[in-house]
Amino acid sequence: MIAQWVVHVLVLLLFPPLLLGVIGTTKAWFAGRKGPPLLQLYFDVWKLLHKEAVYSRTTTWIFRAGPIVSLASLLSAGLVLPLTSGSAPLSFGGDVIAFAYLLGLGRYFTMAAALDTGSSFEGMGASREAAFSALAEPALLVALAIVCVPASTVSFADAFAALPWSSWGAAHPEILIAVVVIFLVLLAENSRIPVDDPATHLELTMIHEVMVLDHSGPDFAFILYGSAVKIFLFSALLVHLIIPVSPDGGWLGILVVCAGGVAIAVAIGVVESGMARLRLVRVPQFLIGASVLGAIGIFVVLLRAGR
Amino acid sequence: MTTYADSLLVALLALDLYMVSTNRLGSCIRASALQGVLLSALPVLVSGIGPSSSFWDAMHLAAIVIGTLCVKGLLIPWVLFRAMRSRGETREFEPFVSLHLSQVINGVLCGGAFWIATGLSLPAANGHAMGLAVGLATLFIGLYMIINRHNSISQVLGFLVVESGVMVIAWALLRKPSFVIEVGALLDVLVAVMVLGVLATSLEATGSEGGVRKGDTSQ
Amino acid sequence: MTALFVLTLAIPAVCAVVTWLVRSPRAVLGICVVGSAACAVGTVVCAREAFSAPLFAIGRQLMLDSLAAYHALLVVGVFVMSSVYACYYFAPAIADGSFDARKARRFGALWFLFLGSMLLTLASNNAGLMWVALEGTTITSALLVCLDRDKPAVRAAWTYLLMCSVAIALALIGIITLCAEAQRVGPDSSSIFLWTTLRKLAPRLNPGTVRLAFIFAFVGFGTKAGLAPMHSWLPEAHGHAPTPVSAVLSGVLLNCALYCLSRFLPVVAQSNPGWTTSVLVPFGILSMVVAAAFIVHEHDIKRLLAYHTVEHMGIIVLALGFGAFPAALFHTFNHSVCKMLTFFCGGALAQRYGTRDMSHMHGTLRREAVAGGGLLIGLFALIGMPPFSIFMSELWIAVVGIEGGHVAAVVAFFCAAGLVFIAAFRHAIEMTWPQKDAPEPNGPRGRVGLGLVAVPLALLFLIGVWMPLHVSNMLASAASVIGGQ
Repeated sequence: MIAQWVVHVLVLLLFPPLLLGVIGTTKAWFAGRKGPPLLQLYFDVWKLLHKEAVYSRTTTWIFRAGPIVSLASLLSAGLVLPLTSGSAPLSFGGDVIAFAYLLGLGRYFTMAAALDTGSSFEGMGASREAAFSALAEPALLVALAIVCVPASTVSFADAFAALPWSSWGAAHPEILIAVVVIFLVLLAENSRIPVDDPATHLELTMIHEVMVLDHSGPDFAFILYGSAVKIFLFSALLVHLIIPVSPDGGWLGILVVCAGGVAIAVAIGVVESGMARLRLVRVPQFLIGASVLGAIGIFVVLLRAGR
Repeated sequence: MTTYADSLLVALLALDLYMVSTNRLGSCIRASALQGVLLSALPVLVSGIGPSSSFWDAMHLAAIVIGTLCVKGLLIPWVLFRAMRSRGETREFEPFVSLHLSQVINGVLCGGAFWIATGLSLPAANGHAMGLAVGLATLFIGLYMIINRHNSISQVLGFLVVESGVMVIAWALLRKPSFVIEVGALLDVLVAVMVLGVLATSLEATGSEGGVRKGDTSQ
Repeated sequence: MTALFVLTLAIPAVCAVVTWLVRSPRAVLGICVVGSAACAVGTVVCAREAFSAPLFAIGRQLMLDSLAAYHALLVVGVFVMSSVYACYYFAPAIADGSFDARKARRFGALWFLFLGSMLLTLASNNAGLMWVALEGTTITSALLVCLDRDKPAVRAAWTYLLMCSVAIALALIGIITLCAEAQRVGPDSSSIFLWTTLRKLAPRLNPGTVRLAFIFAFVGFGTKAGLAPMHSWLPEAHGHAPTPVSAVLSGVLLNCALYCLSRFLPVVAQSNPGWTTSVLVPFGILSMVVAAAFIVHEHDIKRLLAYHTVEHMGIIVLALGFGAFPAALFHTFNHSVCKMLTFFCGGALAQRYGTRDMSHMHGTLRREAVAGGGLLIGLFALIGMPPFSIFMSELWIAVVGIEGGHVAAVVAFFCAAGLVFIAAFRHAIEMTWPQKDAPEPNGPRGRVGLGLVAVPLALLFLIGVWMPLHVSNMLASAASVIGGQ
C-alpha cells in the first residue's frame, strides 16, 4: 500500500512535463519541423527555478500566492485521483466533487492573481477564462456524473471499480459520451486549440497565456509545471475510462496510465495541428455543446438503468 | 449487438446536436450524409437477420442497406451541394433562436423524447427502448430545425432528420421489417429532396409570401 | 376482373410515358382527356363489381372494396372534367406561346402520374404501399402547382411539399405503431401490413397503443387534408396553382387523405369505442371557424375557394366524428363536384379579368354569362343553399349530431356555416352585379364549356332533391366499411 502511494506520488511529480513535450513533438512533426526536445519542459522548469522573480509594486500577496495555490491544488487533485491502482492516497467518500473543485480553486487563484496586476491584458484574460470555465464546469460535472450515477457513488475508487474490463466489450454508449465530453473539457481547461492557441504571441487573442504574462522565475516555473500536471490529470481520468484497470493492477496500472497519457498527448497534438482556433463567439457554443452531449449521456444512463 | 446499436444511436443523436449548432451549410450537409451512413448500418445491427435467415430476408436486408447508403449517403448530399452552389450561399445567417439556445433546446427535446419513450408502453420489439427514444428525439429535433431556420436548404436538412427519426422508430418497433415501407420511404425521400433542391434554386433568398393583396392585378 | 383492375391502375403510367413522346401541346391535352376517360371507364367497370364483393389483386396487396370504389369513382370523374377544362384553360396560353411543348409534356406526364398515384392510394390494401402512393401524390402535385415557375408559385409549392412530406412522415409513424402492435399479437408474416389483417386483429390490440397510432396518423393525414391548425399551406398551394390543378387538388386529393384516415377508424373503434369523436369533432369545428374567419376578408377568388375547402374538410371530419359515415361520404361527393365547378368558373373569370382579385371583378353575369352564372350559382350551392345537395348533406350531418347528443358541436357548426354563408354571399353578389365605374376586363376570353358548368350544377340539384336508391345503397355500402362491419 505504502509502496503504491510512493509510486503514485513519484509518477505525479515526475511524469507530467513529458506530456507537453510529446504534444510539442507531435505538432512539430505535423508541421514538418524537428521541434524542441521531448524533455524541454524539465530543462525550462529547472532554469526558471534558479532565476529571480520580479514583482511589480502594484501587486499584493495575491499575486505571489496565485501560482503557489494553483500548483498546490493541482497536486492535491492528483493525490485524490487514482493513478496506479484502484485507490489514491487521499481518496474519500466525495472525492469526485473535491477533484472538480480543487481544479476550480486553482483556476480562481490564477484569475485573482491576474486581476491583481492591474493590467488590462490580464484582466481581459481573466474575464475570458471566467466565462469559459463557467461553461466548461457543468460539462465536466455532467461527464463525471455519467460515470458515477450507475455506480451510485461519488468516489473515484468505487466509480472506477464499477467499470469492469468487459464494459468496452459491451460497447457502452454512455462511456463513449463521457470520454468525448471529458476530452472536449480537457481541450478547454488546458487552453488548447480549438479554445485557445498556446503558441500565439498576440495578447488580444489569448485566454490563458495572457493571465500569466507578469509571472517570472519560480512562479512561472510553478505555472508551467502546473499546466503539465493539469493535462496529466485529465489524461489519467480519460485513461481510466477508456481502459479500466482492475484495482490490484500494480505495475500494469502505472504503465497503462503513462502510455495512455502519451497517447492522449499525441491525440491533443493531432487535434491542435488539424484545426484552427474557434472564433471567440463560437467557444461558448463548443462548451454548451459539450454540456448538452453530457446531458444526453445522462439520459442514456437513466434509460438503460430503467430498462 | 444491442449495445453496438445503442452506440450507433448515440452517434446519431450527437450528429443531430452538431447539425443544430452549426450554421455552415456545407458542414450540415456532411453531417446529414454521415447520419445516412450510420442509418444504413442500423438494420444490420437491429433486425436480427443474420447468417441463419432465409436467402430472401438477407437479400432484402442487403438491398435496404445498400439503398440507404447510396441514397442518403451519396445522392442526397450531392443534390443539396448542387443546390447550395447554385444559390451561392455557404452560411446562413443566425436562425430565429440563437445557436447557443438551440443547443440547449436540443438537450431539452432529447430529454423530453427519452421521458416520453419510457412513459409509453409501446411494443419495443428487438428489445430496443433506446431506439424508440432516439427516434423520437431525432424527430423532434428535425421538426425544431424546420421551424427555426430561415434558409431553404437547412429546412430540407431538417426534413431529412425527421425522416431519419421515422426510420429509426420503424426499426425499433417493427419485429419484421416491411420491404415496401423501407424502399418506398427511401425513394420518396430521394425524389422529394430532388424536387426541393430544384425548387430551392428558384426560390428567393428571403422568400416573401406570394399572394393577392387588394388591388393586385396579377393572375 | 383482376386483370382489368390492374390494367386500370396501369393506364395512367402508360399515358404519362405517351405524353412525353408527343410534340404538340394540344395533342398532350387531348391525350389527357382520352387517358382519363379510359381510366374512368375501367374504374366504373371495376367499381360495379367492387360494390358487391371486394376485388383483390397481386396477392391481396391491392384491394378495391366499396369505400375505395366510391372514392375512385369520384377521383376519375373529377379528373375527366378537369382534363376537359384544361383544354379551355390553356387555350389562351397555347395561343400566345407560353404553354409550349415542353411545359405541356411536363403537365401531361405529371397529370397522369398524379392520377395514377391517387388511384394507387385508394386501391392499396398494404398500408405501406398506401403511404408511399400518398407521398407520390404530394410530390407530383407540388410539381404541378409550380408549373408556371413564377416566384409565388414556387414558394407555395415549396411550403406545400415540405409541410405535407413532414406530415406524412408523422402519419407513417402512426402506421408503423399500429403494425408493430399487430405484429405483437398476430401471425408473424408479411400480411400484417394489410388493412384486411389489421381489421381482423383490431379487437386484440392494446387500446393505448392504438390511440397513440391514431393521433400520429390524424396529425399527419389531417395536415395533408388541410385541417386547421395545419392548413396554412392550402390557400397558398391551391391559390397559385393552375386552375385545373387547383380543381383536382381541392376536389379529390384531400379526399384521399381523409380516405387514409378513415381506414384507421374501424381499427380504432374496435378497441376504443367512441374515442375518435373527441379527437375529430374539435378539429372539425376549429377548421370551420378558422376558415370562416378568413373567408370574410379574402380577396383572391382562388384563395377564397381554398378556404371553403378547409371549411368543408372540417365538416367531413365533423361527420366522421359524429359517426355519420354515409352523410360524410355524401358530403364528400357534393363538395368535390361543387368545388370543381366553382374552380372552373372562378379560373375562367380570373383569366378574363386578368386578375384573381375579386374587388376588380364586377358584372360577371353580363360579361361572361356561363362562367359568371356558374360561379354565382356554384357559390350559392357551396355555402349550403337549398335545394342543392350540400344543404341536404349538412342537414343530415347536423341531424345525426343532435341525435348523438353533440349539441354544442352542432351549434358551433351552424354558427360557422352561417358566417361563411354571409361572407361568401356578399362576395358572390359583389362580383355578379355591375358597378358603375369599373374598368373593362382586358384578359383573353376565358371560356368554360357550357357542359362543364351545367352538368355539375344539374347533378347537385338532382341529388339534392332526389336520392336514387342505387346511390343510397352505394353510400351505405361504403359507409359500412368505415363503420367496421
